[in-house]
Amino acid sequence: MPDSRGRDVLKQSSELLVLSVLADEPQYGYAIIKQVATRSEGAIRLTPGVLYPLLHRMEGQGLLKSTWETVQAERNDQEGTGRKRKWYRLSAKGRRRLGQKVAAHRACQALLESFIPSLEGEGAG
Amino acid sequence: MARRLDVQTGAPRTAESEGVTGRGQLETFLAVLAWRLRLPEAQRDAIRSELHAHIVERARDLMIVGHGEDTAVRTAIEELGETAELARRLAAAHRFPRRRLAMNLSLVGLGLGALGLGAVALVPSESILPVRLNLYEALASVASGVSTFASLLLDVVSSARMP
Repeated sequence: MPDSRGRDVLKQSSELLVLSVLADEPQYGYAIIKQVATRSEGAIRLTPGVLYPLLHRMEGQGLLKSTWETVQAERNDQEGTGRKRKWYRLSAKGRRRLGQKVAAHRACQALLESFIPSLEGEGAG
Repeated sequence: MARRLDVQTGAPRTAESEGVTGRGQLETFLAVLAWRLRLPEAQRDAIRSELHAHIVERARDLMIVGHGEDTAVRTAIEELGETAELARRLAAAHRFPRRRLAMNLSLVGLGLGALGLGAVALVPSESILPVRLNLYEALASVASGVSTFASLLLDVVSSARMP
């Protein structure tokens, strides 16, 4: 089980993943999960138990906006009748947050990159 | 309606032998989740609709790769995690902006009150004591008004409706 710092990193990464996926086009919850899995070639599995509370929190913070779509029932599809799908899209605030997160991620990545050659040098020596 | 046979015994499967059906599991899960959500009805209904759609679509994908309906629905529900924990997380996600709004409004009320008290205290003469008392009462009314407005606003925020 990850410690509190580990959980923070996972939480921040999940937010960045959601913002990134929604930057392209509006999506609903299950589609976000599938797209994250597809883009990461199955390496990242965003669980619904984490995703839906996160989506609702981000919507409450004004980062996301949502609309409802009534899904047309298919033939012999009693479960699908009257089903409502909630679509999320980035708000202007969400787009700014994405920009900030990408910048912070790149800065952190550049900082870590500067350490990697020295570590490799110590390993070789 | 065709009766399904138990894989091991070959006997017709009954509600008792196969447990709750997929649809039954779905309805039970959503009812328990809604019951555990300490949120206004409109928000509970919205969450219920969203998760209903998720479970149906996930179960459909699982059925495409060969799972039976009951197993697919059960798996889709299990992937959501423990119901009480999910309800707690969802409720916390909805309480966050309301709590922040209440805090901000309280700070505004306190700020207005402090400004008013400061202004009244700056008046030097003892002869205006009754006026000063009236001003204190007015300030108390303003604070009460801010509190009422805050609770009304919270009601509006919490009654976000589905279209």
